[in-house]
Amino acid sequence: MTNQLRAPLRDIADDIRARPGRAGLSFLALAVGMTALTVLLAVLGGLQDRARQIVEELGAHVFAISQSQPDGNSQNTARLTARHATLLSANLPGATVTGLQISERVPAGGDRQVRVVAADEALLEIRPWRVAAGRFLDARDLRDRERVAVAEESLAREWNWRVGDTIRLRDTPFRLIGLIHIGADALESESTDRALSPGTGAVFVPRTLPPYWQIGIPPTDPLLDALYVRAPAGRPLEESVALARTLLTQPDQRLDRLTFVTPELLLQRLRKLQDTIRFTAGSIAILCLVLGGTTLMSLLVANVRERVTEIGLRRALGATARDIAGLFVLEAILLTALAALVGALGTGAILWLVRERFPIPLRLDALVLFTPLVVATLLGATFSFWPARAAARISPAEALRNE
Amino acid sequence: MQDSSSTVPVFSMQGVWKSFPTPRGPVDVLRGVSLEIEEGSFVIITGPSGSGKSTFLNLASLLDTPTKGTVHFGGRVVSTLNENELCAIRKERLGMVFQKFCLLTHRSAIENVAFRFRYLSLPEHEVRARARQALDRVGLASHADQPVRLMSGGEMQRVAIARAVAQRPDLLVADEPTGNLDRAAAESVMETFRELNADGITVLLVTHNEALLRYATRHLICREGKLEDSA
Repeated sequence: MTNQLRAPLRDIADDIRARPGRAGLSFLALAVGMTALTVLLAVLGGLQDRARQIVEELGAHVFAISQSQPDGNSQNTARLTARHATLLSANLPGATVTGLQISERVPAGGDRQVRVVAADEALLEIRPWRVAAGRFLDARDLRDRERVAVAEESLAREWNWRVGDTIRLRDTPFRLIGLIHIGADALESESTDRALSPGTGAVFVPRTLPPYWQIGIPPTDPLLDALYVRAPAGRPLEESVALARTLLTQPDQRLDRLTFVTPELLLQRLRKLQDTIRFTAGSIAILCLVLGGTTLMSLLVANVRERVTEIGLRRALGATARDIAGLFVLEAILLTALAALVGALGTGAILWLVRERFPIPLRLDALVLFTPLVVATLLGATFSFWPARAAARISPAEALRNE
Repeated sequence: MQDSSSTVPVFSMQGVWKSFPTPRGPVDVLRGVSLEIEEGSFVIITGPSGSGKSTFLNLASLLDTPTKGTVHFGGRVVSTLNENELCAIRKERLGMVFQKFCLLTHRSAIENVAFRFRYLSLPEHEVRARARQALDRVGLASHADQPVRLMSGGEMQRVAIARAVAQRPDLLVADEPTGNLDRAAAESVMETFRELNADGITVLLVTHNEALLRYATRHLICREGKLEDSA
């Protein structure tokens, strides 16, 4: 280390050693402020990631339509069926539409039960899932009503299913032709609507198959639990949603209790949470930082007063006014930067350890950990400006008279 | 062209006035002081409190500027120098010793002497070597690593002198250097000044103690803002 770098560090270390209580208090206040700032950034970043994940999981330019279960007073209400999917396909040019029928707790051999999703080949075009092994359902499976199935990857791993195996759904054998990776969890956390995240732990079969796992004669127009629409590119999503709403809510359709789920709708709750956190945690962080900054300023003001003779000595030894100001600014920046390092890295480590149990998603990346460092540097420079200027303006003769 | 046989004074003043503002108007502390301090001299200034000794010393140390008049240092007119040039003279050509030593009490003797080079760009090993040499010169080489707060007053003042001369000054200014010392320590410190002067360093010293005048080659008396050579 060169003398030019070592000397100021030595000066600062000496000052801290001479006044440990005061320096410690400033350090503590700043470290608390940096802790609050790190938590705020981690949580806001986590919520931002969650929002992006939700949009990604639903699919870009995609909206879903689901219908809540009818109550006793709505006997005249119709249910969503395959006919509605056809209606939307015909009236939304360029859009891709798919419908799902979800059957919960279908026996799958032994005491195992699975969710069975009757779907078509368009599902994989709309939802951003990927084939992990084998293939997904295709048009021929639908047309020929093949008894084939595609399992979600984690379910297949749990039950040790492989592509080519024969699996049984309520005693009916199905050939497993593929595995798909869903990797979804954001949608499930943000929505209680099962229709939005049907894939996790599910087996997919062609929608045209007679539902062997159900008891009774299948209807000619099968019921659907959800419709997914990928709106045509080049047209605003809201416009497609409005058109779909108009089509499905015409009186002759007799559909009600429909929910049109758009990414915007899903993000509303998150945004509200983000705003609340930004306001509350942000206020706390700002208060802590201002408190830390003012404590630091009072430390520096007191330091200047106590070190008048030393300032005089430095000037006598050739220090310029700028050297004197730099000494106090550097001391403040180092103190705040150290507080930021301890606060941010310490908080980062704790959040990393508890991230699984933390009720809100967290982002712990370089930006979250180093932003406090930048803030600290600015804070140190800002709050040390006036004391440093005061120190620089002390006349050397006056300072040495103070001896 | 200057005659090589004539010597340029280390420091000189012509018609210097120094006033300080007070609520009752400006007070003249120095009143038209003119003098020259020759290279190699040992000048002692005495005078009553408030007569302007310290103000004169601040001007000689380039820590202050006159209200009126001209100050020369090493042949240059001080009033024409900017802040950086003044600082450069202070760090390279002036040494200062203070009544209360002005030492950094958390540091050792050698670190205090090395502090002389705090604003000079010198390599660390050279700083240490020169600091050790300066301590040796004032007879404190064996105390180099001792914290100054554990030293006696006389030793502390000798550390301060070592700091002042570690970078050989053209002018060594001392303000009451024995004011806080007992007689024996004061003698020891004055002997150190004498040795430095014998080595060619010009010494300008302010004191109340007239017993120290025997060390001087020149005695100036400060009285009511004026400096006069003693009879």
